[in-house]
Amino acid sequence: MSSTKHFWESKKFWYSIYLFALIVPFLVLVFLFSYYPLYGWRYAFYDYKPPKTLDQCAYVGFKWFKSLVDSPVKIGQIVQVLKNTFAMSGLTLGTSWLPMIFAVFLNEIRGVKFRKFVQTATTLPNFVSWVMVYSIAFCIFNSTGAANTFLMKIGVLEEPILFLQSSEHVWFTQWLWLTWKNLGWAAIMYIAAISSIDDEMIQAAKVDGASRMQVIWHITIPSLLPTYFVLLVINVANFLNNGMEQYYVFSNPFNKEFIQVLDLYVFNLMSSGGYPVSVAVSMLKSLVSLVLLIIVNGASKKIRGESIL
Amino acid sequence: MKSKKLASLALSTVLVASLVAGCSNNAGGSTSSGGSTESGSGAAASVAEADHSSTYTVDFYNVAANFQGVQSGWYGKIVKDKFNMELNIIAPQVSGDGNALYQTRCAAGDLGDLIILDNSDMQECVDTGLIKDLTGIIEQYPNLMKYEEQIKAFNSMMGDGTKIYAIPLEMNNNGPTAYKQLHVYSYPRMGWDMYNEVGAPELKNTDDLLNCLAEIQKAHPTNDNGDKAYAFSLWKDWDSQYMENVAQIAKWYGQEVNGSVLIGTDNSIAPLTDKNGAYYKMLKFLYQAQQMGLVDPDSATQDWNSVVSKMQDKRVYLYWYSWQYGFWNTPAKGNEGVNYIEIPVADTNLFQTADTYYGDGRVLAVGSQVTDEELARLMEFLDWYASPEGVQIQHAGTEGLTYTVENGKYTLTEDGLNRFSAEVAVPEELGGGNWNDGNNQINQWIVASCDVNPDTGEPYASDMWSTTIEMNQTTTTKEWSEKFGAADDVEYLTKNNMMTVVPSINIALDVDTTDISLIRSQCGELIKDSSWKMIYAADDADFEAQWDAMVTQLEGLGWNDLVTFDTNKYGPMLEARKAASN
Repeated sequence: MSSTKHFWESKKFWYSIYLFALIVPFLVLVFLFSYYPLYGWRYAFYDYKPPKTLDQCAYVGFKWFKSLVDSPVKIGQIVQVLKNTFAMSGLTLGTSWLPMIFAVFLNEIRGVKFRKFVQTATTLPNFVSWVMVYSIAFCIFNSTGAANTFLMKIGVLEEPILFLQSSEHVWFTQWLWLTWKNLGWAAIMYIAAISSIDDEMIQAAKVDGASRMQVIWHITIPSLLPTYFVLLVINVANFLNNGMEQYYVFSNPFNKEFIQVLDLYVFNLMSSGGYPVSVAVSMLKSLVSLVLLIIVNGASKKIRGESIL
Repeated sequence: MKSKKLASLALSTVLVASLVAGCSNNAGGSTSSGGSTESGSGAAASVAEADHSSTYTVDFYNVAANFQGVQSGWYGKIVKDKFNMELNIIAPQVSGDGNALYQTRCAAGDLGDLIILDNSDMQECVDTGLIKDLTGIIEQYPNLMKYEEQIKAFNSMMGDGTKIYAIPLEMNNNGPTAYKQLHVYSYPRMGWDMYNEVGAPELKNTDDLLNCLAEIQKAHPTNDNGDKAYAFSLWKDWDSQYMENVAQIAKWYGQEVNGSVLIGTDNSIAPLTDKNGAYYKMLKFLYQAQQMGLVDPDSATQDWNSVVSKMQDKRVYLYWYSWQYGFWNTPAKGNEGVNYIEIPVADTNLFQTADTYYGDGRVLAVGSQVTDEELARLMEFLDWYASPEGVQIQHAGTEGLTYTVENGKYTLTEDGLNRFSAEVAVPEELGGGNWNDGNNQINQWIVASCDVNPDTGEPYASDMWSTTIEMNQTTTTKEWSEKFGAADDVEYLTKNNMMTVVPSINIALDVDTTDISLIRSQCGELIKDSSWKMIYAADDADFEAQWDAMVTQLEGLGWNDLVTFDTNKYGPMLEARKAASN
């Protein structure tokens, strides 16, 4: 009848509406949890102190940003916190190939039952919360804990060693705890990637007489590298975000100097009343993370010819 | 195929809807808190009749509580039976991060139905409308009005000074300079048998005290069960801006730590970092104790509750709080001569505040968001809490179980005597369980135990009843009196000028600005961390170096501003003290 067709009568239009509806929940989620919180940044510019509400507080501009560095002691504190952050993240980043190697070796285990056992045993700690990890640590390492009791019973020690109060090797021990908790879990992604390697390649290499190590070196690892690099880039972008739970539960007056990473520093500032300052610090942190991500992505583009953004 | 599509579409719609609903819930929450701010400032003049038909779970935000959760046991049963109420205690001290809890609850506009806060926090909460105005309401409650003078005195400093918002805690009607307690609050206390075993040495100063304790620990490295015992067992969960253990024993040498300053018995004021001050002296004292192997190695990692069980097992040889006696002493042990008791140290000048006539620095209030029906029930409960019945239950438990009445005289039963030091089982019909677990977990009371019960003419505190005093005349106290020539420690210390009673003042002081509050928290963290580290210092030089490093760092964090602020802040309190002692 009518010669002109309205756009809402076209099948294509409704199809695109349908497709859009599919992603709406995720857009809402991203907006709610990634963009809406940015609105909270305004706290950094006010003299905010609970129990007052924000509109009862004075606007102070960049006062809190300046206050972070207005004395050598404060600068010293921040430098120490950054050192800790860099050290812990650096250790994690430097050993980020561990899960990959672990997955490769795990894959080489022929006994299926044993392999499954190892995989389960190493994955389980990931589901133990940090508080529980600390209570395990406390039971083993306190002055009357398993370690001290054992060492004293066999006569190695006279007096108990206060392991948890030690301020030595904090970065390393924390890295050990983290690795113990995460290694198996992080390897899962690589195990999945290994299973998707084309079996024909491996068979062909074996026909050509490649040894087991040669198969790993020339086939398995190169096939895993793309996955590795994606995870690496994400890790670098998260360089400043090493979380606080672990360091929070393990921290005490004796190791605080070395265990206080940026996230914990922000938390400590906030919990003792410095809301605006801690918001200011986390704003700076977000900016640095963004810059790091862009740099790493650029580098990845140059070196490997592919970017992830 | 089509139905599948429809299903996925429906699913995504539901997802979006639920998210939006989540948001609007939030939004609703914040508007209602805004609304409550308004209702907080407007005074409701009359109270609805209390209706007990439904169970009311009272959110009780309580900075004094050492317990989080719903009050259970015998005390919970009394409150439930009388008022059909459950007390859901929210305890910042237990929650792990008290400040964060306080701030999030404040931000939500609902701190609790009942609220116990320190004076200065209360002042801020009144200013922000979180607290119910009780003007015209509280007057209808006769038991609360017995303390009208004190309540009015405190509230004259709240808001514009004409309204009643908060009820001070631990008040009494004995007068502002009375000191009726049987014992001083903080003083060195040891097992009488152990002190005698090492020759009852005369203690001239802290060095003698340490040597005496070292002798005791050498003679008894373990308790009778073979568990390791130490002279000192410290705990860190009560630390605020400084190390609480140090601050308490600093009182032995005439100074009380208040924020960043030390306030002296002579009304002097000095920074906490003063090397001639009591904080430094007693921190060094603990360091020396640690050097001598007298400090429990668990000290830095354990909490108060572990210390309690250690005291009950006699694994701690030095007490300082007077109420620590409850964890060990009994008349029976007293007659064996093994009770803990004050051991005078000749060079002390104890800082002892008078009984808290005007209140103890914490106050109780009602949240502004409660409805009129809830308010009626809460006020009814509070009036009971301040009534002779409520106060007596608070301070001595229930008649029949913990005490008996004969000719108007109260006498503790065996269970009553042991209620703190042993596991006393409560009969099922009274709520069951262990007496201590079922004890009032609010841990603060409107009326102090030294106030006089009109029914008996004696104080509410069971240890101040004439029957108990007589019962507590044990071998331990008799021998002590013989040796030191005084009836009790209060008499001995007064007679020998070893303590000064400072008038009790309860006024709201200046509230921190945001700058000061940040400096205070950063300095506080540093002082606490450094104090603990200094106790474990390697040697004297290390101790000194750590102290100096702490002072330098404090200055970089703005310490001097904080000290100036606190000096001005406590000025009015010192003036009031001078006025009261004249």
